[in-house]
Amino acid sequence: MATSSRRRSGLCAAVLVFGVVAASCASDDASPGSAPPAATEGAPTETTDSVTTDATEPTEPTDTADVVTTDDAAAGAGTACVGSGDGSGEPIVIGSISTDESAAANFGDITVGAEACFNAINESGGINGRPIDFQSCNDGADPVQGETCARDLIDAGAVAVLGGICFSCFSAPIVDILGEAGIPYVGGLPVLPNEYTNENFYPITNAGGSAALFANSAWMMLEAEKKGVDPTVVEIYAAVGEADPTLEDQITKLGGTYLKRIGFDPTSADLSSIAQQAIDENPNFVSVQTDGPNTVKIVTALRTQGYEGDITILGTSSDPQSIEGMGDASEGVFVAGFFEDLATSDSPDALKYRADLEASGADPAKGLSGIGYAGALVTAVALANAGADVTAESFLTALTALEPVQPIFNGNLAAANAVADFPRTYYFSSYAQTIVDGQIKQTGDVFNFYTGEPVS
Amino acid sequence: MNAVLGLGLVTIYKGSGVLHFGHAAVAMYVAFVFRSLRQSFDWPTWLAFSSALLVAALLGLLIHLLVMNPLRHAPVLARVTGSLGVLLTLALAAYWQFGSGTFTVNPLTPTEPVRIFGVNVGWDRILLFCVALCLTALLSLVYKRTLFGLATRGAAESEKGAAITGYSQARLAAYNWIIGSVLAGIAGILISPIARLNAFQLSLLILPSLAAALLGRFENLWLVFTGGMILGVGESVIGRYLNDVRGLTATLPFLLIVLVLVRNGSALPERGELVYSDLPLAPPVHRTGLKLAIFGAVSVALLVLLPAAYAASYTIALIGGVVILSLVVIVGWVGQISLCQVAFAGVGAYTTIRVANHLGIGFPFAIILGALITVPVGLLVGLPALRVRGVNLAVVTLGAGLALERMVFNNPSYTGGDQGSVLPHGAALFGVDLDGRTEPTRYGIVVLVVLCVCIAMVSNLRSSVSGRRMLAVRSDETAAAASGIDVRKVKLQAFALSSFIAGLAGGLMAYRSGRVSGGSFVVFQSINFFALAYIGGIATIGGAIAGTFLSAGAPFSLWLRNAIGKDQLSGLLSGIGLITTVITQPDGIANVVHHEREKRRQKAARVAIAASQVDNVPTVSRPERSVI
Repeated sequence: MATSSRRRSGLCAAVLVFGVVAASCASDDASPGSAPPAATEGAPTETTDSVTTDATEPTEPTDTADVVTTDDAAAGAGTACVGSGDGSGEPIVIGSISTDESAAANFGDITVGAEACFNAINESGGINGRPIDFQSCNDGADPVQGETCARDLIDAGAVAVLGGICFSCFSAPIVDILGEAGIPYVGGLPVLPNEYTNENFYPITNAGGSAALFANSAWMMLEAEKKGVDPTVVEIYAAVGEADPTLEDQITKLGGTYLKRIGFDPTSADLSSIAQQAIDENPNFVSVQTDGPNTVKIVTALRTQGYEGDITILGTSSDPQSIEGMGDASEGVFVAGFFEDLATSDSPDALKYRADLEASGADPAKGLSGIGYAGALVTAVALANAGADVTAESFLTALTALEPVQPIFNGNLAAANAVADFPRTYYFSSYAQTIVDGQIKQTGDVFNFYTGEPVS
Repeated sequence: MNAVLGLGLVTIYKGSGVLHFGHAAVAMYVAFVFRSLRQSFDWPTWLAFSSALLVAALLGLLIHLLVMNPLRHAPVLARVTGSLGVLLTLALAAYWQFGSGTFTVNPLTPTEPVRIFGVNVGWDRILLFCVALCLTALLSLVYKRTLFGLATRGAAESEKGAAITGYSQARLAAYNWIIGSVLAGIAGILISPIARLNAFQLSLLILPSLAAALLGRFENLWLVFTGGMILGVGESVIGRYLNDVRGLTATLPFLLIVLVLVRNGSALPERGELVYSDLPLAPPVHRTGLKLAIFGAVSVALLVLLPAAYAASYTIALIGGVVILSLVVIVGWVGQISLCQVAFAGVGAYTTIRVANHLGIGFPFAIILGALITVPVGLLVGLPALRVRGVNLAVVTLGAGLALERMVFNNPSYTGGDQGSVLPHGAALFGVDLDGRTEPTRYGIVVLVVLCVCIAMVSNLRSSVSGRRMLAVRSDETAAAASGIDVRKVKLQAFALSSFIAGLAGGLMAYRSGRVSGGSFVVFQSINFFALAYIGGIATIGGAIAGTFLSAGAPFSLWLRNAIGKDQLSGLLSGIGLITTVITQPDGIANVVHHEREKRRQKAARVAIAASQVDNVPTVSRPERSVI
């Protein structure tokens, strides 16, 4: 009996200790996988002047970055995340479908950024007196869940649906479902070129996808010229779909030598053999196109196996956790950047961004929130232009008529020109920035991401 | 890393006789704890490391005390189910607690390369190799030279013998569970900076570690170490030179497992185990028509009355019911543990789309043809079942599911990759639009009809001679063969029928959304459906219906999700539910009613005996049950 009692006591103690330790380990950091805060509820009551912007004809692609500065934009359109009115009107439902958390990737920070902007708008009176009811839905990279998200948001009366990076959008007809209901899919970060072929897709922000490949190509050419080395390039990409020829085409077009494209299974535990394949080609540049965790694995493997050349990665893989995960291997890695350094800059826009993130309980120094924040901001401008009785249709009209908006990122309202005849293609400028001492620093000039020409 | 994980697997198997499918999940969970303590709470690495290993030890002890010890005299199916429950619970607990994303663990070693014989090698690899080597040497010494090691080996030979000589099998098992889990923890922590730290992906490292353990015949630790190294080298060579063959790296362990198992017949050494409890009850089917009418009426009401979005979700649950029914046939009635039913559904889905696109065959014939084409795949996977059984077959089918996922479903050349495969037209019959996207209610009724037809078909099978043969094979293959039953034929028939039904589910899935992608057919879904089938009652038709109502998308699941507010937590409940069911109600929810009815009948019989004072009234016995 005594033995039995001791066993029970031991078991209870074990359960207790385990519970305490395990519970204490619950994720409380603002890591890329952290769940975003709950959707905004309630309507703020502060009253401010209404926001107005003159609608103009749809913007056509231009050869250079044609941007409105923050001050100009603020004067004309209030392009910071600031509201207007008393916030007492009927809420405007804005949805969001993105891959916040999944086994494939996690981009919850983007949603967190969008929410921070809408929270700030609501705190200052909403848009045209109406608060934003931001309803975010994590597709979990699952097509079934993505479809459920789309239908739920249609039922909720969403005027527009924002996207961070929506993995299920590739395999589920989410954009079509929204399109049939007359709701535009706005701000989705383009990852694959064929997203540009969908008539209901309205790109706003772009830190990854084709624009980043263009920027990477341009930077490699500039860097090769500066160092006096041959621009020989190997591309490593997560082979989850058909290979995207963008980088090869661009490198070739700019006069470089494209050596090899190496695809890898993103679920592989160890990618050192992939890194070795790249090293075997003896390139001066390796361009890595994948998410943060796999970027960490490849960049670390490249360095531990003795590769000493330059490496470029996507802006979406440059979150602080990934940079920290790379350790010393991150030193000198190039990141395609379309934003100013939101984490450290003292510009009014960056200060406002950090304040809004902190007010929402998020850490502005972490993650990719700037992308979502910028997308929400542009959406808010279009909502303001659409008037108090905004509908999906009037929002769309206002969105397509929007003038270039340049609040915090060095680019225009839109994405790359991956598809020449897509009606909503625009041009960006890119910051030449590399990782120095674990921080992303601007280490070169601003250049046209497509041609590599300097931009003043 | 395969070697270290394999060592833990062998330790646990030697000590308790359990092939622990949740072993890599323990590694994953401990790695999450380590990362959290080190990176979120800024604990020093040594403190985070030792604390995480303490959690590993406690996990091992808890798994033994709460799950495996109560199942120590249960049949193989129950123990496999228990360990799958642990896998699901830990994966979903990590998903809930730490997030479903993929996380980065800061390096434990310098990132500069070391030159060895002219080759650059990372410090992280050198560390892993040294740890694996030292642990192998240490464990070999412990199991050969110490009394504890000898007692463990003795108990593995004969539990009864160990008990007679005064060694508590339960205590020996507990110690080995702790050692095995700590080994898993060490592996998880060392692997996490190299691999992606993700709740599901890391849990699937069970397959390469199983291959390493099998190469060591689950006995010789040095062979396990060597097997792990061979596997690692093989994966690297494939990664470097055969990288274009999609999924081959992930498939290598499966190929090795099949090779070893089929060659040896049974790679796991036999243990002198005492099995007292029964396989899940498979009662005869009565009043199928009435039950189907009630189920159909309830389902139609749900489809018609629920909002369109919910009707569409319930349709997913009904398709899940078809997959669960396929498990009733293969696992419930024939006792062949299959963990790749969702992979069969995937084959059905893609072939349905190909048939529709390339042959111009429309609904519903494309689905039927797609399901028929799935049958040879089912037979191919079932072939090893002619040589291996029980837990070995579970390993093979888990590997087959993973191989199909990585080599076929994730291969854009076959399946369109992220873009998925697209059907040319939605479902329509006699001019009536049944498109799952635009007419979810109508399509839901179509799926319901298919499910009911399948249930009726399977019910008839249960009552037929073939059904009784299947149950005989499940009970005892040797006895079945002795009584003239062609065991091989029965097994292959079951795999054919089961894969056909699962293929139908895949076709229905394709027509529901008009396209499918590989993400819908991951191996974890197979484990989920296995859990739902077991909770419902894996050997009964009622179990399939109960499983349908528990599936994701069914009103109960949606209510639970809304009530709890977190998908992850409701998922976690399915893992805990599986463990609870296998221990307390191994016959499943559906048989609770059956048991109550039996009790009432027995009570009535006793009353009748007492009333009539007749001595020779026959007592009511339970329907056929089997013990292995």
